[in-house]
Amino acid sequence: MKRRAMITGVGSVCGFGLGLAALQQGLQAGACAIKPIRAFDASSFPLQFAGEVANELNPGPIDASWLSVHGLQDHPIIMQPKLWQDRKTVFGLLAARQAWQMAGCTSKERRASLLVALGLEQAYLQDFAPLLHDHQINIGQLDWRCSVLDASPKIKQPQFRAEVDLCAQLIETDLQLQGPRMVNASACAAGGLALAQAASWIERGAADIVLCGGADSMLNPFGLGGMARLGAPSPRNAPDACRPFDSQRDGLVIGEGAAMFVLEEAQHAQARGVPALAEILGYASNQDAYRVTAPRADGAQTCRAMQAALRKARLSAAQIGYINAHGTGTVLNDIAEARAIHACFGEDAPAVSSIKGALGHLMAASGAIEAAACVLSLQHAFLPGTAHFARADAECQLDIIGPTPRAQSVDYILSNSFGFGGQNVSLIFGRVG
Amino acid sequence: MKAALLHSAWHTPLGTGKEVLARIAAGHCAAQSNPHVDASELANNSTCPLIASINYPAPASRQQRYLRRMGLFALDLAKQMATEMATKLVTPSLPNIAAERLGLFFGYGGLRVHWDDMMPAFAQQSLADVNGLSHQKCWQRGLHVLHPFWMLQHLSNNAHALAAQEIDAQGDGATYSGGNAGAQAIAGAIRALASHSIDRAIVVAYDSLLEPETLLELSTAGLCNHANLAELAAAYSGKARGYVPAEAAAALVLQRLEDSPGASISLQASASADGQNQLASADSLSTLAASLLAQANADENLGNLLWDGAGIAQTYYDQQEQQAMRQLAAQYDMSPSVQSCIASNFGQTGAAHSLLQTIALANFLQTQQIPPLAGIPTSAQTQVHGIFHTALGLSSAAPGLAAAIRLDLIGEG
Repeated sequence: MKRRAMITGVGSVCGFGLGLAALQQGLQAGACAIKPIRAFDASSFPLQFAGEVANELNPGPIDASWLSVHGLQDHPIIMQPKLWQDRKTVFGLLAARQAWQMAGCTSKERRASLLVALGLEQAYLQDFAPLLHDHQINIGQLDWRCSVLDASPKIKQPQFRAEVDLCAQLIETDLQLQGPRMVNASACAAGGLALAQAASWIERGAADIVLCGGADSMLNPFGLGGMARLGAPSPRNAPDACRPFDSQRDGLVIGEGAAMFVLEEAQHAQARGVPALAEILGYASNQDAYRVTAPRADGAQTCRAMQAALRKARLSAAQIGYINAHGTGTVLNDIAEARAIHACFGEDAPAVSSIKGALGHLMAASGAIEAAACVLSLQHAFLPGTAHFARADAECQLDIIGPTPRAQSVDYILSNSFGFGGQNVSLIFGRVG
Repeated sequence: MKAALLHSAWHTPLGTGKEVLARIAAGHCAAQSNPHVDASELANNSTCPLIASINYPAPASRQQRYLRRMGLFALDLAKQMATEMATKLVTPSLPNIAAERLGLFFGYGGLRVHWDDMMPAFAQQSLADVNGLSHQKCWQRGLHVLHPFWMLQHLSNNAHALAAQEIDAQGDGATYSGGNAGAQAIAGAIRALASHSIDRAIVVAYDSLLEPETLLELSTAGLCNHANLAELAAAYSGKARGYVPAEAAAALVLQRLEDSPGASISLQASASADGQNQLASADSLSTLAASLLAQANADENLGNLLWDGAGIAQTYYDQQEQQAMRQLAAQYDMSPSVQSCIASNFGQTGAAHSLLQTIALANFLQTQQIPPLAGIPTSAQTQVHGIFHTALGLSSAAPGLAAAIRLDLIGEG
């Protein structure tokens, strides 16, 4: 009997708030989560707006009270302030707990595999504070001996090396998982890839249950500063900074958050008496092999990824009811994606929207949060809108859903995630029940 | 799931190419004095007096504005594998590998802080108090001088993306990260081959533990050796007190077994984590190794067990690992077992280690020549003569990351 990958639990953390209900409410209301950054003092930065994880009770940096409000008051993380500055570890942990709980998982499911997509790691200024204290550092020339010898008395447990899998470790420890663990670091495609690989594991019998998803946050000085220098974000500091597919679009806006899923083989879920929320029917990934700074203008490879996902799902293009686009709001990405959708679906392409205008670009977690949005669409018969879309672009001739979501029930949804450097992944979700 | 190993290459502290195998056979150790530390500083437990570095420059590339040194080594190896494919690796069932059927899988240990490009950005940052940093005006104080490509240079998958571009690998692929990312990448490639999303895979892994801040961290964690060269005690000697941090890059070409009638080596890999804050436990390593041996067919003659140790060089850990592997060998009727330890030759190479082990163990199986453990007198090592059909390679990294590979001779080898 063919093994099937079913989604039985979902957790999400994003600018609309914590939990799947918050994501649903925000999407169905056509809301926008892009606000002034409060995670740290970004007033001197050229970028001051982002899709920051909402916490009206405790705006600002994550601290002990923030953790307590969200049920982590007894978690060991509360004793390690150093971990809070890596915001995605907290988000990933919360999302993982939500998904695990929703799927009714217990200690019996501890042998579950863990596949997490994690974002770019970078240094945190706070790590270097002990080195800067009463110490002169030569600009432009590393004084290696001086830095090591003078720093060592001040640093009892240095943590300069970015632990790329710290979030995965925390989740594993929190849920006492004992299965294999993989960490996908394929940039903006990582979240989608994590789900695709988890589905592959289940279908091929390598696992019966997988906790998978993605977490990311660049809301820290180096993350924000690096993106500002790169030039990909919109230069406008406003809630409507990101306008996917709009003719006046001028860049992305940074978001943060996490989405985690319990993916389970259909028979396994049935035996546990857990209802499936959606099914992953198809997936495919490939590379542009083009440029690290721009996607292929003709969208040829992204078209092939979508076609391969359709073949895997044994569906025709006409059966797809909605496309959740990567839709970053940059000039180049949206044109390339529109061309790819045309090439794959022809003139009768289904409705398309991007939720990045509302939540921001969650980077490594984008594919994951968008998968959560797809699950909600299938369950609650609505198609999310494209925040701030007002003027159609002649080069993106698609049925773009405007800011107001559409009430519509569809059976199959295709979701795209395209990473920096040309990593492409397409997923197909199917409605159950 | 297994795959055929068709080709390989590496950049290591012992060099590149086949001469590396000769140096391993001769017991060479790549450890050298850390040029940044002199004898007067050895009492400082935060220094790392021994390292093992690649002592030649990375090949120049038009991509070097996006890649740092180790990424350039990785890119070079990906290109080598592609060249080898184009000129030599033709199999009857797959006369041509189309670009969209070539997969590319990368494993890297993790992004390191790089002092030289970060210093200008925070040298003028202000401390709000002794424990914190003020974010006020931190953009004006230095973040604005970050290079425009700084983000791209530190992108988690930039080496993978650039390699895909250089060799026109348009198929399935991914970047994995963590201390056991090499094994993750091998496993990911094998799964993609098994699912027929690709017909051939290039796997590349690279890592360096030699950045100053990494050495400081490893040193204060008690993992690095603090002896000088003359006093260095090798892993499994019973006197070891820490390993030598190193760096390496390696690449493999893999293909489905059924498409590789002439292949002589098959490969499997597995990676896991056990929640430890530091290294994965020795039990975790043997459990992972057991999971690979458990996939043997009932009538498969595994022969004596050849295994390459993690080389952590902490006496208690080494002993635990050896004991666990002796028990495993007995359980699978593979006693007596023989151990190698390329970590004693190369040093600890992080995410690249599983690929280095793959290359070395493939050679050991094909030649049936097992080098003695470097740094331990030959007279103190047990000589075992037998036929080795199967080899295991183990590695352990922080936090709690374990990796294991299994190689088998195909046919008569």
